[in-house]
Amino acid sequence: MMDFDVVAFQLLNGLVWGLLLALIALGLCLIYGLMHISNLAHGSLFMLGAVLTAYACNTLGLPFWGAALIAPLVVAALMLLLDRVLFTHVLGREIAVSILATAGLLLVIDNLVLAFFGGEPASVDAPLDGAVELFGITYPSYRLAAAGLAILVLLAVGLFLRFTKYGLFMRAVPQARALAAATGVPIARVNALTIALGGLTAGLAGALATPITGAHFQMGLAILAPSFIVVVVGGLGNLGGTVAVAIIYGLLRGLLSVAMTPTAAEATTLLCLLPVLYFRPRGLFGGGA
Amino acid sequence: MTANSPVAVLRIAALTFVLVAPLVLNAYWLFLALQVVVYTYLALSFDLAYSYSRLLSFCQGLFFTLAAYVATYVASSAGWGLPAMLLGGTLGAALLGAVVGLMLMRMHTHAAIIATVIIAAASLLVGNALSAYTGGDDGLSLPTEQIGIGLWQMHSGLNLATYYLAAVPLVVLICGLWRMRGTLTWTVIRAVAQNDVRARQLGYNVTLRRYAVFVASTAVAGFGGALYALVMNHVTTGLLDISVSVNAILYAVIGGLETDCGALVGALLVLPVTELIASVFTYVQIFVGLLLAVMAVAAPKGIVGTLLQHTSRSRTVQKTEANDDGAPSDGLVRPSSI
Amino acid sequence: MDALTIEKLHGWYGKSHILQGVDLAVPAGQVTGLLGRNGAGKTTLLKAVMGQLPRIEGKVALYGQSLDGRPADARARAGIAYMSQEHRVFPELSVAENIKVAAAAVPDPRPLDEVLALIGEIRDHLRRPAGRLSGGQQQLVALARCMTMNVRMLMMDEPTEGVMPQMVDRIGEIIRALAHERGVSVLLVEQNLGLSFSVCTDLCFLEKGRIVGGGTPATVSADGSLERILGVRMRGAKNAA
Repeated sequence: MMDFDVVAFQLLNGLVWGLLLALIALGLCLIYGLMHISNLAHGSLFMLGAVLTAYACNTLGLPFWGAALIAPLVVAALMLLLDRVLFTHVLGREIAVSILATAGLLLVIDNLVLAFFGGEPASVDAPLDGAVELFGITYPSYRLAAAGLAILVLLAVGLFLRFTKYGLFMRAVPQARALAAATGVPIARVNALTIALGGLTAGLAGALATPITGAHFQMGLAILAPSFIVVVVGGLGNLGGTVAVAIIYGLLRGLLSVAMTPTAAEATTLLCLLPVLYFRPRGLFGGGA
Repeated sequence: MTANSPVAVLRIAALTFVLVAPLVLNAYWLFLALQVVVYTYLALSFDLAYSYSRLLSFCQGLFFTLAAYVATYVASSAGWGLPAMLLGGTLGAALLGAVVGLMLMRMHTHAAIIATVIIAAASLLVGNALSAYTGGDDGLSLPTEQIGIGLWQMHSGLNLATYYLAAVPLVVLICGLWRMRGTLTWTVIRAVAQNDVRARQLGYNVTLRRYAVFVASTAVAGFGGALYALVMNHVTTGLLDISVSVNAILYAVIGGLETDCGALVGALLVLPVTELIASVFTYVQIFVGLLLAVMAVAAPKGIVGTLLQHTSRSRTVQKTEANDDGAPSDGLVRPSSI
Repeated sequence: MDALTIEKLHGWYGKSHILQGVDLAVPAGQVTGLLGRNGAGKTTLLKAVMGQLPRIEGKVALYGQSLDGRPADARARAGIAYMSQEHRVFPELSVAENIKVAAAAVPDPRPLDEVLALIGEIRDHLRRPAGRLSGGQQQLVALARCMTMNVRMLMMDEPTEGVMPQMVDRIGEIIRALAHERGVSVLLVEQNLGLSFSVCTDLCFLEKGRIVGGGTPATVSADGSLERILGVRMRGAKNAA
């Protein structure tokens, strides 16, 4: 029964990780869908959320939940600023412009964090230190709480898109940008909101991950491949597909972790998903263009 | 293009500088010049893939690194040591390029770019997961410092022989690209790069040509990677870091995409400066990133591309087609033709 | 009073100078037709008025209020709507949501009931994705969206293209109702001369990016300018007018 325990533990880990990944990929997917920008610096926002949370907890002495609230807001504010100085200027231009600009942004954010917060990994104590019995194993309660929060936020974003005015705008604009503008939809504000929401969710994923993985300036690069592959395999711009593939990715990685080191499990998961793109170049759920 | 245009002057100056550098530079600066030459292969491979295969590729660094590892593995002081390194590296990279290219050519433009990012990021993970073979962050050293062909042997590392071994093929390659302008092959490749519908109507197999150009670009990266192993004596998985590729991309963008000498001009301008700043300020990559972002937004054609545009504007009135958002095309993919 | 005044309007696509100084006044509460050969710049003119051209120079005012320098969405909220040829509806949103986008975007939307009272056909399709409707039905959804925006000025680009004949008549009917009963001023680009002549009170001609003449349907067919500029003869034009 020992083996089953390990498998169940790793699968739960994978599920938690998949949900956090879904939070990150959500913003990537929304920004791509709305503005046709692939933000290469998106992983760095996740990293920034984690590093800021660790800094707020360890250096400023804030309680974890306070830090986890503030850090995503700071990342969202940064994204609002970047919307003004960068994203507005790449909108509607050749793909290369936005890709190269955000590749530069990735280097800027990662190295600014390195300069200000140093290269040492930081760790944060989980705000809940108990464990619960689940499927016959004991599992850290914080990880379940983080997974629950991630689900809540994913649901909240779904409801926001479905039932609010700006949610409707965010669904309408990607379908026909010029038509939305001619209908009076405040495009610039919708873009800014989407970009800020992307920063908020990626930053929140970073904050929630900190007690599990710690914080380090290179964790943005580490998340780059997983977050992009779930967006592409999910069918570029397809929100439901992206979330589903993120969870599949997490579970697969968890399963592989039973038998190999985390790096090897991550690499193998990526290598498993890459061939999907050969057989389904538009992704699993990418029907249209 | 007339012989006395600014671009021609710039091209001749850059090529001449590369060829005479050992006569005028001391060892420190010559080593920088050698790095410029080696990284120009990487920048050039990015430029080739982007300009003529319409694939903005972040994974050229993978082919560069793979070739460096292959070269390190096959290096020996035997009579076939040098050709084995250079050919082995180049072929290894092209072989992987042929496999990766199969997938990339099937994908939609935007998804293909993202796939190259994924491949680049995944290759670093794989490289580190296979640290038993790659040496991970510590890397591998060349097993011998005596490399040669037949009876002629030379030292690896910085010396006149390795310098010219790296520089002469680069000069030949750039001159070749320069000469190819105006030939039929060139026209077809450009047509394919710019408008595949039209090219297809003319009866060209668009995907096959894009694929061939992409594999060729990976071979160029591979040749550079093999040279890297030869002149650095050492290779680590750190080369797979996406920032290595982004730096090379910056050289190509600053110099000017879709030009023969842009990658070299960009590398000559940027690499020495970043090396100098790095010696006093550790976080020089902040400026590299900032520069790339600013160039992409404000001057996507780079130096040579901008000069070319000014030269050709007086001659032809070009029409820019609007994209579906009604915004003007940037001309990034379609700079002025000459 | 004129609903829309356009003065010395120039517009460019990249380096092609398409609008070369358009002067035009669209009278309030009437339907004005804009005619011209392919490539004359009709669609470009509508886009320029909407602010959806990369480079524009000149003056555009709506009921005396300048629209210059404002983005398209601000112009739409100021009371001008544009039914383009390229995108008629948001294909993946339901018909109801298509209308809701307009209602949520403008400051003073028209209530849904009033819209359905005029365009009743779409009532049965409110929950269907707009992209699944026929071309004519999509055009009705587009009209409903513009009506919901409660605009004073409506610009339409080829509303009957690819639409069945009986639907053409229906669209003409709605255009007339909007103009004459609800005071909406309409600028209509329409290749279907039958429709243009039956709904327009005024016609003007665009050639090579300039307004080169115009008049009532009766005068332009009588003085030969219609034939000279479009290369067609309008049979029975006098009757239609």
